[in-house]
Amino acid sequence: MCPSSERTDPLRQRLLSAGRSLLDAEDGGNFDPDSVCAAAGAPPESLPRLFGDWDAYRCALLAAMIDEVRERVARITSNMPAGIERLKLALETYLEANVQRPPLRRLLSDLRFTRQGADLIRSRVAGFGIVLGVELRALGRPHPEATARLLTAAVTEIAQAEHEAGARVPALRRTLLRYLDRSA
Amino acid sequence: MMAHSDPRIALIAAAAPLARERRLATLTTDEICQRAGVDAGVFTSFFGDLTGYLVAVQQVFMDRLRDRIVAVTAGVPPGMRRIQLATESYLSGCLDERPLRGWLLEARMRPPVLTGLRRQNRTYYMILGAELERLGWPDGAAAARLYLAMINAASIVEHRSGVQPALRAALWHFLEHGA
Repeated sequence: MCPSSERTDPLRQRLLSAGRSLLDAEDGGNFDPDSVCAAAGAPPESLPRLFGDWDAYRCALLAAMIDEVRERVARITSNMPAGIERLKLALETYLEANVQRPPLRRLLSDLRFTRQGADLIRSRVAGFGIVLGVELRALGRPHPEATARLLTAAVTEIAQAEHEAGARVPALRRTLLRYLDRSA
Repeated sequence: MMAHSDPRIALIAAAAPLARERRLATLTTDEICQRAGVDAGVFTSFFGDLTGYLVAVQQVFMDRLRDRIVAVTAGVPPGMRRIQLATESYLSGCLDERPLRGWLLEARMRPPVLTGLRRQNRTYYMILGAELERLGWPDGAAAARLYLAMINAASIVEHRSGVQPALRAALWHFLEHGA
């Protein structure tokens, strides 16, 4: 977690926005430190100075994208009563956000084999599991934390499969949702 | 020093004892060769580099687990009990070789190791999928893929913390509620 002063640093935000715009571009091709600095109108040394290195910069970008997905899930499910339908909608929203964001998938794919990236992904997945565990406990499910851990693995697997396929994999989604329905 | 007539087998066999003594992060191919009593050039000709070696070690590790599962489930009729026995056999097999398993978990940071694991898993989707369809799951291969991901997650937790009855109960719960 970075200090709040870092999060609000205007140049830092400009660099992150520039990287995001480059990744969102149709081809997603020109995504490198020089292109990011040029797009942000910042000197080339600003990126290493503010982020450390290219991996750390991309991790900051990935963290922001994952937070966006989490906020989207929270927003969409916020007015629903706790229950299996809210849980299903949250999981589907999460998967849908992943499949509809090629830049997110690209960063996940690029960074998962780096130490910083793996640590970030692990911590965010763990956070997802904790939230899921709270939800399952509220639903009175047996072994809520254990079930949350397993469901998190299943959702991650679906997201990975959909990343590989470049599209939804309905059979996997159906199977997970069917389990949630049948075990309600 | 280890003596084995087949240098490839000797090199792969060196992994388990070395894993009890060394962290993967500090391991060198020279140490493996020394432990196996095999020339460094032979190592390179078989595996190329440390990553290639780890892919082969993982393959052998998974083959041993498969043989263990086949032995444990021999004669057991298809069904829930057989899948549970296979799962428990896999999880306890991982725990029995915890140091080597630790290496292999860490080695997943190397793309060829993860790719090798995924390739093997595809075979298990079909085998386990057929078994799950007999239990009434409408899409056995999809259920198998999710179940294997869950077993993997359970094995990682157990690797750190030992047997976790709640996780195993949650696995059975999944098996019992999808059909």
